Amino acid sequence: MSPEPNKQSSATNPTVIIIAIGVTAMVLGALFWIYLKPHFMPSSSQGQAGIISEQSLPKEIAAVYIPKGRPLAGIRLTDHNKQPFTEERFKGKWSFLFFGFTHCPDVCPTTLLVMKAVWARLPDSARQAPEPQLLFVSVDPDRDTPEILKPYTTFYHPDFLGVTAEHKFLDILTTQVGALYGYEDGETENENKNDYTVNHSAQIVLIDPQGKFRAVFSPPLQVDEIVKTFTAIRKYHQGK
Amino acid sequence: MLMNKILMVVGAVAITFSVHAEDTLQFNDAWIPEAPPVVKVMAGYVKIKNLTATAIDINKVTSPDFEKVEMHLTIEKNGMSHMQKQDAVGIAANDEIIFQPGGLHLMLINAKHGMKRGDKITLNFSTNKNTFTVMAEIKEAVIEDHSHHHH
Repeated sequence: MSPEPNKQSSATNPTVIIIAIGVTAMVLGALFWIYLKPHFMPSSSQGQAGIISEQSLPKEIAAVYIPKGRPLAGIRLTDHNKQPFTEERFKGKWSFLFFGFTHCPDVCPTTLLVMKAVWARLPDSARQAPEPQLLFVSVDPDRDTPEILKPYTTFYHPDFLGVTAEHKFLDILTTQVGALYGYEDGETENENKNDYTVNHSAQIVLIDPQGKFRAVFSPPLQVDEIVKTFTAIRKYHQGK
Repeated sequence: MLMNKILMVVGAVAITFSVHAEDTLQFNDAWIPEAPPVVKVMAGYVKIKNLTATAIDINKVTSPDFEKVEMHLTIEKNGMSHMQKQDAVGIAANDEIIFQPGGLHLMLINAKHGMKRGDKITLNFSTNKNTFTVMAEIKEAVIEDHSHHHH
C-alpha cells in the first residue's frame, strides 16, 4: 500500500488512522526517550552498567559486567568475628557477596553449597593474590548475631565470612550494589515476633580488588559458569 | 531454579511407607540436608508418587522431632527469592511430585533435639484419609560436579 494522503479525506480511512497512530507513537516514543534517558543513564562518576562488550571479555561470560566499576563507600558492617568490615577490606581481594539469612532452609544453603563447589573448582590462577573471599551478608541482623553467623557460614566453608549490620548500614551496601530485601510476616497465630521470612535478592555480587562493584551473577547459579566467568574477569583485569 | 542442574548427593534410599486401603502414596528418597547446628530451620526433600487414579492432596506434615513442619515453595520473582507457604500440595492421579532444592520443600522448624548426619527423622504426611509415616535421613548435601557432562 503506497502512501496517498489526500485521496480520501475521511477521518475514517483506515490508512489515515494507522498513519496517525504510527506518528503519534513515534512522537511519544521520542519524547519518552528524551525525557527518561537521563534518568536511566548512570552519572559518569558512577561508571556505566551494562553487558560487557565483545572485544573486552568473552561474550559467553555468565555475568553482567560493569566496565568501569562503581567504587563502594561508607561500608560499615560487622563480621562474624565481631570485627568491623569497611570498604578497606574489599581492597586486595576479589569479593563475592551473597545476601541471605540463616532462617532460610532452601535457597541460602543451596547457594552456599554452589559457592563451596566454586571454591573447590577454582583453578590455581584464580586463587592467587588478589585471592577471592566470600561474604555471606545476612539481611536479618535482628536474628543473625555474630554468634549465629560464624558457625553458620563456616559450616559451608571455613574461609567463608558472615557479615551483617543494623539496617541503616546494611542499606548503604545493598543500595550501592542493587541488592534488595524485605520482610514478610509468617503465621501470627502465636504472636511470635521471630516468625517472619525474608525475601532477598538471589544474585551474587562481585567486588574487585580496588573495592569497586564489578559484576553480578544471576540465577540459575551454575558452578562451572561462575568459575569460568570469574577466571575470565580476573584475567581481563590482570591484562589491563 | 538451580535445581535442574543440581543434585544433592543421595546415597541409600531411606523410605518406609504405609500402604492404606484408599489413598496410596509412595515416598522415595526422603532426606534432610545436614545443616549448621545453630540453625532454627532445616529443609526436607522427598519424592511422592500417587499410585491411584484420583488426585490426592497432602494437607499436613508433622514430625515428632520438630515443633512445626510447613510446606513451602521457593519462587523467584524479579530477581528475588521468596518462600511461599503451601497449605496443601496436590498430586494428580498417577503422578509424582518432587520436593527438591530450589522448589517445593519442607520447612522443618525448631528441632527438639540435636540433629546430626545419619540421624533418621520421622515425617508424617497426612491426606484427608490417611497419614503416612516416612523416615528421612540427614545427609551431607553437595553440589554435583557436572562439568564433564556438558559443553
